[in-house]
Amino acid sequence: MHFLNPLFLVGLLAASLPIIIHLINRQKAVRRRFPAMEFLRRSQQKLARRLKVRHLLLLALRVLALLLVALGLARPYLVSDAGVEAGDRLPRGVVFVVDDSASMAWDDGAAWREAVGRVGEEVGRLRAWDRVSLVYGSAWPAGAPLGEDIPLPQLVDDHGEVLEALEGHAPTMQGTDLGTALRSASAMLATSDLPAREIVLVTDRQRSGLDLEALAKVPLEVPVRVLDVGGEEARSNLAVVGASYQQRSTGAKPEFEVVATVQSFGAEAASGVEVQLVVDGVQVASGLVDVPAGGKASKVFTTQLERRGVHRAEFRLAEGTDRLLADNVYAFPIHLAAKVRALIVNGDRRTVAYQDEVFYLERALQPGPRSSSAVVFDTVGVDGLEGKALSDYDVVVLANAEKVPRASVTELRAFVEGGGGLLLTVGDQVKPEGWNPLFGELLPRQLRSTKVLAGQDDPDAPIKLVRLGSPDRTHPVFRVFDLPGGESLGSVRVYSYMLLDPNPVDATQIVLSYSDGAPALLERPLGEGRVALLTTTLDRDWTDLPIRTAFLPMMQRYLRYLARRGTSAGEVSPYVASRVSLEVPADKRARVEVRDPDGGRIVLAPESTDPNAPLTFVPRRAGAYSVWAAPRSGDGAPVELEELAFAVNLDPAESDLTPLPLEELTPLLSPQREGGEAPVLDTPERRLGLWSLLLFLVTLALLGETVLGTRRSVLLKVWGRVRGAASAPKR
Amino acid sequence: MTDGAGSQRERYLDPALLMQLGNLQVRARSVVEGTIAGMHRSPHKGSSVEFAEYKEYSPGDEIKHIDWKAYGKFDKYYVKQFEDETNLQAWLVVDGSGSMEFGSEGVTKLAYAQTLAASLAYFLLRQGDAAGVMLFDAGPGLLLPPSSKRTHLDDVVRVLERLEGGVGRRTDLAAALSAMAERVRRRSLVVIISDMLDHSPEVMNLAKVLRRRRQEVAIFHLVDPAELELPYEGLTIFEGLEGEEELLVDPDDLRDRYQQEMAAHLEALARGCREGDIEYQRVLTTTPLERVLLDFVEGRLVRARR
Repeated sequence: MHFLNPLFLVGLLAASLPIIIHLINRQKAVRRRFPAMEFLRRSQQKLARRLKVRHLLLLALRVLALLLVALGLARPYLVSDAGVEAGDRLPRGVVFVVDDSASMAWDDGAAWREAVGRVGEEVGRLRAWDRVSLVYGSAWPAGAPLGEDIPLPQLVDDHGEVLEALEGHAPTMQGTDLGTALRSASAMLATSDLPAREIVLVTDRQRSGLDLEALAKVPLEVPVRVLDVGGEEARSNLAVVGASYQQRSTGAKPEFEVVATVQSFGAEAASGVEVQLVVDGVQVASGLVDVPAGGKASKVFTTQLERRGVHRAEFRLAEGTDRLLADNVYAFPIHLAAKVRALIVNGDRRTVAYQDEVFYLERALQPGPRSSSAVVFDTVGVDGLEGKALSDYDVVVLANAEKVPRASVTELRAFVEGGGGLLLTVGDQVKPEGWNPLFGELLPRQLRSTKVLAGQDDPDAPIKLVRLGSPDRTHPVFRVFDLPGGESLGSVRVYSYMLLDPNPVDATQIVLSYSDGAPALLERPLGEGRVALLTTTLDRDWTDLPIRTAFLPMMQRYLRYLARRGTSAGEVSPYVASRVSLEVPADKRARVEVRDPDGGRIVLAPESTDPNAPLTFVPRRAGAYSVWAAPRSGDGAPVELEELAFAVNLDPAESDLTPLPLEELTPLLSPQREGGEAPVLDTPERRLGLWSLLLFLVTLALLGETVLGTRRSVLLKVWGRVRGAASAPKR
Repeated sequence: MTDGAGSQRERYLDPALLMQLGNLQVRARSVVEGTIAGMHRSPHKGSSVEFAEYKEYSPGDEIKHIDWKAYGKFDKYYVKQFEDETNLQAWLVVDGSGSMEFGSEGVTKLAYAQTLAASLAYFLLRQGDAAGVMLFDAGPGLLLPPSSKRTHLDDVVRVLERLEGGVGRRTDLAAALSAMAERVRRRSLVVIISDMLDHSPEVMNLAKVLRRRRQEVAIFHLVDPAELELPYEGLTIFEGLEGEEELLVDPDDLRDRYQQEMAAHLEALARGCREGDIEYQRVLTTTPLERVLLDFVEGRLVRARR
């Protein structure tokens, strides 16, 4: 309670007056002699109790009346947000900005339900002539179709529409963008000519979701009142904030290492958090992880995937881990390439096909027009290497190539370090003095010179040549040559080979040797990829390997082994309500649609006339998305573009539930914030004067005092006159 | 009604005014003359002068009536009493307690009682009856035996003038009646003039005893109007006139209840008198004494005819 004239409270002392007067009156009582004392005494004894009560009541009423008068003069008032000031009776325009970001789903939607309830109360207080509207406060990219984000695009008279829209809505998986929502609300009210206007902001004040700078720049012309629904309690939360994978092996069931990153938001460490790996809807692994308070922890899983193509994977935190469920799932696609894309650089082109350096290799990789090889390739000359986008390939074979441009070598090095595979083969075109400085560290070992053992027409060749020795049995490529038929590798004749520098280079592994012990095939990891060097030719100039039965499986397997491994590196996981760009090939753009995690289809329309411009799309839900395309419209069923499959996740900013203190938020929402002191707007003061109520109570007290205090004789006389007047005959 | 009341006011003296007139004897004469003027002639003629009985002498008896022959025979004083000596012997028992000092209308109950008693005595003596006086407060006081001598009025007035009242004197009517019962042998009229604030049940019992002894008992119950109405306002400390404790009350609070108590008392008194065949007359001290006397005399005439 507040007072306009607190000095008048001194008047409360006047409440003692009746008591003082009572004491004075007692002293001033008239002394009177009277004979019939016995009757007086008897009457007094019989009435004593009743009289005492009456006197006390009378005294209380007098004291109360004086107290109320003193209080009334001090002009007390209450501060309330439900006042009935004159201004409030004017028609009002109210726009409710309701935060429907993912954090509002906390505790099974408790915050959201509270928000709906609070808005319901506010709407209930509106008068029939007030107008309302509703704007949601979740983030949405500028320029993207708004869809359902403005349920009521203008002020309406039907208040029920607001409640109906809210009750049919639920917290989204989007981030928070109150600035845009307030801007929309402010613009809506700016066009209204209602005399009183107000924005009511309903939010959980999640600090990480609020862009304070953006909020401060929102042009506000009307007061903003904040209805807080989050409370001040610290809410600890766990979320899966990242996932990565790395293919560790090739083969029919390549092995993948999948890593989940779990973050704790809050001051409490979490131990033994169960993380589950789900691939294609099936839980394939689970494990426990300890997450430090406010920090991150990783959990590594190893799994095998068989089917080529894209796998829809996700990490889940076990049920009951925390009370915000939306961020306990993190979806990601695992791409397992269906075919290895190879680039063959032919360093020794011949017009006679079988004399061509890569004739046998091409046949091994593409045995026949109807065969389904796991490797697809393009062949170029050395001069064609420049201008080729190496990122389109998984492995490059540089066959007997000399005079490779230095820029191409640099690209090749970057290609390997980025995960690609490079197979270098030698021949008569290769000069050690040229290659060694050119390739440098790219070579598993420096070349020294060519060792010619015998010519192919040399009659002594059988005793001069060497054969391929036993391979490294542990190598995944050569493991199978222990099986029946694998012995053909040992029958390969080699007439010449390149001698190498004997000094070992770090991490270089000799995979295959000749029978004289010289290295035949070496490989070395470089960055994320591998470089391999075959010290003899891919054609029949230095060896008969190409015509041996071992050649085809060896090259097929080895190129797949060298090829770029499946990895999540470089993949970007978009957040809900962020703009996703899809590089759909121009020939498949007739009709492109995206299928969301619930199976909903969104047809993408090109936004520009450029046929190569990426198609963009803004996802509303978290989960795995797929892209489908039909080459020509109406031409059969669309085909999934697996390489474009992507997953969308919750913005981790929504996982941090720390609230922004109200005293920090409200100054940002004041219309006068740039003009100096910002008034607090969360609870606009409306003074409820209590004067009239006190006056009424004083009247009641005085009336009671009059009835109780007036002498009965007087009352009876008055009553008698009244009755007399009522019963008098009318003339 | 109005005319009657008006004529009554003209005919009778207001008691307050009466009290201003001379001494008690003058007042008594004035009252009686006024009363007789309003009376009809009495139907009763003279009375017998035959000897009736002897009575042992008691102080106050006239010496001339002592039968000296009887004294010679019995060695005791006997007084001859004759039938014609008097029609009636009346005792005026007058209250002199503290409560009689109260008067709200300019007349105290005591003054009223004195005048009423003197008037009665004069009236009785005037028609040849004997009148005696006994004063009382906390016990029997001065006593004047009845006599029908013309000059007896002077004695009566003198005794009555000794009635001074006084705050603190308690009332004990029962003791006075008890003394009266012992004293009165002849058939007499015992007239009690009191405010009847002695609540002892003995009072009514003794009155009934007197009545059973074929004495006639009449009670003039003097009541001040303020005693009936309790007309006071404002916080008041009431002091008793007979030594009661003080009482601080607002009379307005008690008025209804007090009036009920008082009415019950009056009713009980009237009922007791009715049951005991006792003549009871409630007299407000504002009532003209002539009226009171007249009512009494007429009442007695009515009783005599029955």
